[in-house]
Amino acid sequence: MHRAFRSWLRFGMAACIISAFAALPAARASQAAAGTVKLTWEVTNDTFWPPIANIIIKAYTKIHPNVQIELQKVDGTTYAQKVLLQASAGTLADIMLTADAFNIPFAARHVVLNMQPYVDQDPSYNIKDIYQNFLDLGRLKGQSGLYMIPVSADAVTTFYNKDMFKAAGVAFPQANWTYAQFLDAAQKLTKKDSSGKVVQWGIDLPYWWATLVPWLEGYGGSLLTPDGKHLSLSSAGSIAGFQAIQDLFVKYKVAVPPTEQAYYGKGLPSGKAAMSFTVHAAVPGYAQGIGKKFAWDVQQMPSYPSGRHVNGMGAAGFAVSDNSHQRAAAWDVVKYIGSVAGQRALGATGSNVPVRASMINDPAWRSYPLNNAAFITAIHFGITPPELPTDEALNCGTVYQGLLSTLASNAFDKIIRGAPVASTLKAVDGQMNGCINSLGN
Amino acid sequence: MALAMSSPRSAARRALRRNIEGYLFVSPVVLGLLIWTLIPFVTAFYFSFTKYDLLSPPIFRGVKNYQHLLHDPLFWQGVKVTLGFTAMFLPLSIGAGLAMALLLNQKVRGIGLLRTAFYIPSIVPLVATAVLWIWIFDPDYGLLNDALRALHLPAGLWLVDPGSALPSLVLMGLWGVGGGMIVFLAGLQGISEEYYEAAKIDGASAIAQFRHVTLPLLSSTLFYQIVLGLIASLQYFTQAFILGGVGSNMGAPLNSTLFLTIYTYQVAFSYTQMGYACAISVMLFVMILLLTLILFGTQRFWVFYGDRG
Repeated sequence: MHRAFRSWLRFGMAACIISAFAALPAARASQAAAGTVKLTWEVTNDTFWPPIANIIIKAYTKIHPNVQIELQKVDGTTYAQKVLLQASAGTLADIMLTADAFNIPFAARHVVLNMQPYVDQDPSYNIKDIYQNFLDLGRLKGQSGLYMIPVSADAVTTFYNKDMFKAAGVAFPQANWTYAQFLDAAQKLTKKDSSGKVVQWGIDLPYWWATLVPWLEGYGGSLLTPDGKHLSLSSAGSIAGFQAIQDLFVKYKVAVPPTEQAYYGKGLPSGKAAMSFTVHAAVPGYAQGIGKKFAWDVQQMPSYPSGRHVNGMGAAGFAVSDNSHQRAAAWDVVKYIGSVAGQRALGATGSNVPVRASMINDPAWRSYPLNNAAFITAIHFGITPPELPTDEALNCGTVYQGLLSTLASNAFDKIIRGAPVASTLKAVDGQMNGCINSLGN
Repeated sequence: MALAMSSPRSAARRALRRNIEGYLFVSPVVLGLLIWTLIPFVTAFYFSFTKYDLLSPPIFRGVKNYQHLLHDPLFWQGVKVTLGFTAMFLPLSIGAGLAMALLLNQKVRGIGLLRTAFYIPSIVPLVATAVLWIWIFDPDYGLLNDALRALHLPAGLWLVDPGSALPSLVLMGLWGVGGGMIVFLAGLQGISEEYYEAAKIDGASAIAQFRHVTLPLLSSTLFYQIVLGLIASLQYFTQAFILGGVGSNMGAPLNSTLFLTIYTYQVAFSYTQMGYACAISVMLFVMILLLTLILFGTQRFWVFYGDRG
C-alpha cells in the first residue's frame, strides 16, 4: 500500500516537473508567434489613476493591438514605500506611476530607468514642446538623466465659492488681485453664529509645500538658502511669510483651524470655506462632489505684499521601471502618454492641464466651464519644489517626505496653533541643518 | 524474557527514535522562533550598525546610528510618548480589568451573558476598533461629545488636540480590557472558597478579604498581566498608526502620538533609513528588557506562588 502510494507520488512529481518545463517554451513560443507583448503598469489604487490608466490603455492598445497591458494597483498612501520594497525584491511593473514627489528616491536609487537615451533616439517626439520646468521635475539636480515623462501641468490656483462671495457682497477675485484684497475678502467671508462660533471660514489652508513656500517667497523668504544646500526658514522673509499665515489662523481667524477635523483640508468642497488652493487635478472630484450645491470657479493666486505673483506647481508622470525586461515596449507606452494624442486622451477626462505648450488652447482639456486661463497663468508664475542636493535630499528629506517634510509640517502645525514663529522656525533650521552637516562625518 | 534479550544497541536505537520524534514535534515552534524571531533580531542588530536604504548594499558605520539617537529630538519625543502612554495605560487597564473581573465573579442570573458582552470588544480587530473610535472622538459629530453636551459638560477636541490625543488613545485602549478581565476571572475562580470562609469567621470585612486573601492569591496572575501589559504598551502601534495618519502626519497632532514604534516605521519606510530604524528598535528592545527585568526583580517582594509554600 505504502509502496504504491510512493510510486504515485513520484510519478505525480515527475509529471509536474516535466509539464512545467514543457510549458515554459510553449508559452513563449505561442506569445512570440502571435507577436503579443505583455506589459504591466503600476498605479495607485484610488479613484483618480486607475480610470485614467484604463483610458490610456484603451487608446494605446487600439493603435497597438499586439500589446496587452495589465494594470496593477497599489495602495496610494504608502505608494513610495511599496515601490521601494518591490524594487528591492525585483518585482516592479514595467511602467510606473511617478511624480515630482517620488523623483529623487526613485531616480537616485535606480528604481526607474533613465529615459533620456530613448528620447535622444526619437527626434519626432518633440520633447521641447513639454514645459521645461515640468520636464526638469523628472531629473536629478545637476544631472541630465530623465526619469519621468510628466503628464500634467499642475499649478496651484485659488478655487472659490461664487455663491458665498455673492452672499457676502464681495467682488469675485480678479487676475490682478492683491494680498490686501484677498485678506479683506477672507474676513468678510468668515461668518459666526449667534453664539460667536465660526460657521463659515474665508479660506482653507492646510499644510502643503505648494502653498507654504510661495507664501514665504511672496514675503521675501525662501525654504532653502540661495545655494540650495541648507534650510533658511529662520530668515527674516520666511518668518514674515509664516507670520502672515499664522495671522490668518490666530489673529484674523479666517482660516479653518486644524481642530475642525471635518473641514480642515476639505473646506471648499464641504461648503464651509469660501476659498481653497489646489491644482486642476482636483476639478473632476470637486465637480462630482459639489454638483449643483453651489457655483464655483478658479482664479490665479493674489500678488503678495512684495508685488510678486507666485504659486507652487508640480507634476505626476510615468516612467519605465529599471526592472523591466521590455524596456523599449514600456517606453513606447510612456512616450504615448506624454504625446499630443495621449495628452488629449487624458485631457478628455478633465483631470489634467497638458504639459505640452502647443496644447494651451486645445479644447480637449477645457471641458469644464471654468476660468481655465488661470491654470495657464499659474504655470508662468509657478515655482517647482525646492530641492536639496540629491544625497542630502535622500538622507534628510524633501518637501514631500522624510525629515524635511516632517519638520516643516510640524512647524506649520505648531505655528497655526499659535506657537512663536521665529523660535519654532529656528529650531527647525537647527535640526535640519544638523542632519545635512552630519552627512560629511 | 524479551527485555532480557534486547541488546544495549537496540535500546539506544529506540531512545534515539523517541528523541527524534520529540525533536520533530517541537521543531515547528523552534523553527518558527528561529526564522521569525531570532534571525530577524540578530539581523536587525547587525543593520543597526549600518547605513542601509533597501536598494544599496549596507555600509558599516559603527555606533554612529546610536550616537545620532542621542541628539535626535524625535527619538526622545518617541520615548516620552511611549513611556507616558505606558504610565497611564498600564495601571488603568490592569485596574479596570481587575475591577470588571471582581464584578463579574458573582453567582447571579445571566452572568455568562454579561461576561461575554464585556469580553467581545477585546476580540474586535484593532483596525475596526480604531476606525470606530475615530468617529466616537470626532469633535463635531462624535458620540462622546454628543453625550457630554447632553449632560451639559464641556466637549473635548480629543484626537485633534496635542494635549488630549494621548489620553484619548488610553481611553480607547480601555475598550479592550475584556481580555485581561478573562484572565483575572480565571485567577479569581482558582481561589478556594475556604480562604474566604476562614477570613469571614475571623471577622474580616470585604475590603480586608480583598486585601489579605484575593490580592495575595491573585498576585501571580497580576504579575503575569503586568508583564504582558507592559510589553504590549511599549510596543503600541496599530491604533496610533491608523489614528495618527501616514506620511509626514505620523504621530499627529504635533508628534503627541509619535510612539517609538511609529517613529521606527516612519524612519524605515518613509525615510528608508533601515539602519537607523533598526537602531531605534534595538533601543526599544533594551527599554522593554530593562523594565521587564526590573519588574521581575520586584516579584519576590509581592508575588505569592502558592506551590512554593
